[in-house]
Amino acid sequence: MTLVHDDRDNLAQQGKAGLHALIAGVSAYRHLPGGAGRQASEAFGMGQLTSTAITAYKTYRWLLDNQSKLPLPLATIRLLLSPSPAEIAKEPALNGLAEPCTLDNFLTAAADWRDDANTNKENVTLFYFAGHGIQRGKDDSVLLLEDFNGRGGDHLRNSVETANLFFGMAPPNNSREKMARTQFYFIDACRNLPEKFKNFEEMTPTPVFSRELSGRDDRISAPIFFAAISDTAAHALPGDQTLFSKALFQCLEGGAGRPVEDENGQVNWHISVFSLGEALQVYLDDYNAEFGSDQEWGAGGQMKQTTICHLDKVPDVEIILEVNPIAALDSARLQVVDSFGNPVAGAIPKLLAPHPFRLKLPANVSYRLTCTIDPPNPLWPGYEGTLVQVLPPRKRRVLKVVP
Amino acid sequence: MSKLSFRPDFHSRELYSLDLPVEVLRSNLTMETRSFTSKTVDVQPGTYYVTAKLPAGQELTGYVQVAEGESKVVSLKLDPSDESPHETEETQRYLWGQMGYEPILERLGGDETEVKFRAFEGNILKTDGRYKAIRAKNWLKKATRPQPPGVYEFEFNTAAPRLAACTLLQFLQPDAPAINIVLPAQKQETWHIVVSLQPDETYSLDVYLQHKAADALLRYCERGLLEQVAVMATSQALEVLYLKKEDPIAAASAAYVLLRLDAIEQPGKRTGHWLENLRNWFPWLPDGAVACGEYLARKGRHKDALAAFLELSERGLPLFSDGLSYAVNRLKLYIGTEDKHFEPEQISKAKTLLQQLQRVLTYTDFHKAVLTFKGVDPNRPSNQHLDDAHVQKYGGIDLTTLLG
Repeated sequence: MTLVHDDRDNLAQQGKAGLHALIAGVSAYRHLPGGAGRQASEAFGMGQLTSTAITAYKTYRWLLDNQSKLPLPLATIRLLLSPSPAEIAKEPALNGLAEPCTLDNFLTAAADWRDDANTNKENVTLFYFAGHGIQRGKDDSVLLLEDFNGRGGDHLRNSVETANLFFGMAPPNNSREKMARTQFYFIDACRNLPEKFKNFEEMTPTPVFSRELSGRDDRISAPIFFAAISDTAAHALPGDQTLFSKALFQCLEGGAGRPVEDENGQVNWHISVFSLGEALQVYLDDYNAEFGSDQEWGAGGQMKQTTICHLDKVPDVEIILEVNPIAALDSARLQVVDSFGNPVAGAIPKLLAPHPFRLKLPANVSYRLTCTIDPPNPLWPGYEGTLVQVLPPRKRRVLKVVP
Repeated sequence: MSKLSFRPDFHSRELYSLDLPVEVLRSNLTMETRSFTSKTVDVQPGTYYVTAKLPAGQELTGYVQVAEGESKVVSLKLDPSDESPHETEETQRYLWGQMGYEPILERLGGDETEVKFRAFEGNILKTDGRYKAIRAKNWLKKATRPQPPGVYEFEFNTAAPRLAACTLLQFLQPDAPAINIVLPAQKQETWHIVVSLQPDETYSLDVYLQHKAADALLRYCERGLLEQVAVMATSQALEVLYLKKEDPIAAASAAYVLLRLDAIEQPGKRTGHWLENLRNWFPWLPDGAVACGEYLARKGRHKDALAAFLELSERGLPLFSDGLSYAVNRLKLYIGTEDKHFEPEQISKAKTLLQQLQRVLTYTDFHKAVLTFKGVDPNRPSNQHLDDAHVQKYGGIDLTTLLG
């Protein structure tokens, strides 16, 4: 089964637009070393993966579990999964949940997804791919499907290009058609080009859509979030999840939250194209520091501002506090009060350890940070900061206790 | 109403003159207004938190309470941990994100490593077109070694009307591929090139535009700071594009930013005409044709768009990596639809052009806004790493003494 969520009839009865998602995750590559199919003579340095199908599954679960936060009701999810045995062992739900992500299945799912997207201009589409990928330019990459590198035809026959997908989803040159004008693309794959591919400049992936030229491209927003900038690798934790998806989920859970005031003065929090763009790298940098990677996300498509999802509560914000000089750390005592002078709930330990000290506070109020020295020391009078307002994901503050 | 103006806490004149986007937030963190550090804004009486992000990602912040009818200047300060140790390093740190690197160990004994600049002219997009090495010595106008450590600045001037339209600067160093940058010779332009030592002890190369606002826009884009890009796009980028005669290269970079944000169409502005003029008035500028072509394609005017992209054969490689990307993607699309929409001759030209562009695309560093590709022979881009002997055998400007 590919269509794993279908609420089209219900939405059609109500005359409502909806969000249509196509999610594909490939870990098991049939023709790469260790795969179940006939091994190709050339593997281009690629092997089996253990995290990308489960990443796609978690993306699917995130959409299902967070429907109330989406900008439109969830109409359809099409899911294609080629999981590794390790992923199935870890998450048994992967077994038989969705069709494998072969070229044929991908083309069918994409055509059906496009048809659904083309029923209402107000629709929103979401595309997520996790698996092996190679670079084709700033706005393009080749997505390698489960049967990539099989015998016969071009090396890239069982692969597709994001540019073809993106242009194919442009509003058609026929005013009767009603293509979704808001489209989100997430390409969670490497964007480097194995040296051996560089000899094959004219290798052609299979077109996803027939190459019809679009009419006026009046998409409201159509950003492509690439997990890696071109000529670099994307990374994953084996058997767990890709770094990009971990960062993305942290952003969607509030790390990229921004407040917006409606016409009644009500403040709501949402994630937008721009706020996601800014926060993604903060979390990727955390993983880069932890795992020694150097992953940087890249922007493509049309990065126009729009809401990606809403938040149902005020997000937390992280304040990272650094005592300067470090010699004062043992005697530095932190007090945090809100703008009315009320101490902030939650115990702050006497010793700010581990240092730098991390504090999580709700993002909707301002805080005053004071650092006193106990016992008093004439060299370190302490720190009394002005009110700080901090937007997610975080703010670093140096508590300079010297004059 | 009350009024707020802003004073960024910089020391260098260059930084102080930069008009940064600011966000004025209310006490509940919702947006009161967005503006620029040079402007005065009207606000309701209240308490505001003001932030301004620098192109290299650091943040200036300020806090202000303003009563009815009052005018206040908000002092915008950096967090102490981000402050530049020297006034002279502000540009490098806050605009370019160059923090500097100094090798931990010093070498005992001589070092014969050579690092060089070479120059080329020619157009590989023309049938049988080739880049030929030329004398680069006259191009180098200034070399400085400011703080922070490991960062070196060079000023080149490529203006030389006798040369072909397309010129190219190459940087050679051992243990890395040669790096090529397209710098047109038809414009009286000072190119600001920064060579910086990396922790792996190879040098990286960055080009900065003379036009400060256009350059800041590119840096915000490179760092994914889209809020800032959007604020600048709807005012400064449009202005830079409109004033294209003053600086057509800055105008081309602004056009790409506007295309990326899909912000070309603005009410009451003839931005489409501005792009067509950028293409028509500067026939030496490849990016005028590409930006206009991409705009026409988005309007659904695909035949006109293809004609614009095909002009690259005469104009040469785009100066900006966005230009290369847009051209390749559109040409591939149009070639795939050849029978129905375009003349066979156009498609044949498109195929030849695409083939040439793809040779460069494969070795292009898309992290850089200015088109940068690898290969010691720019006619045959490659990943080939050079060794000392390779670098020594080529002519060019030896930078060894300058880099110290």
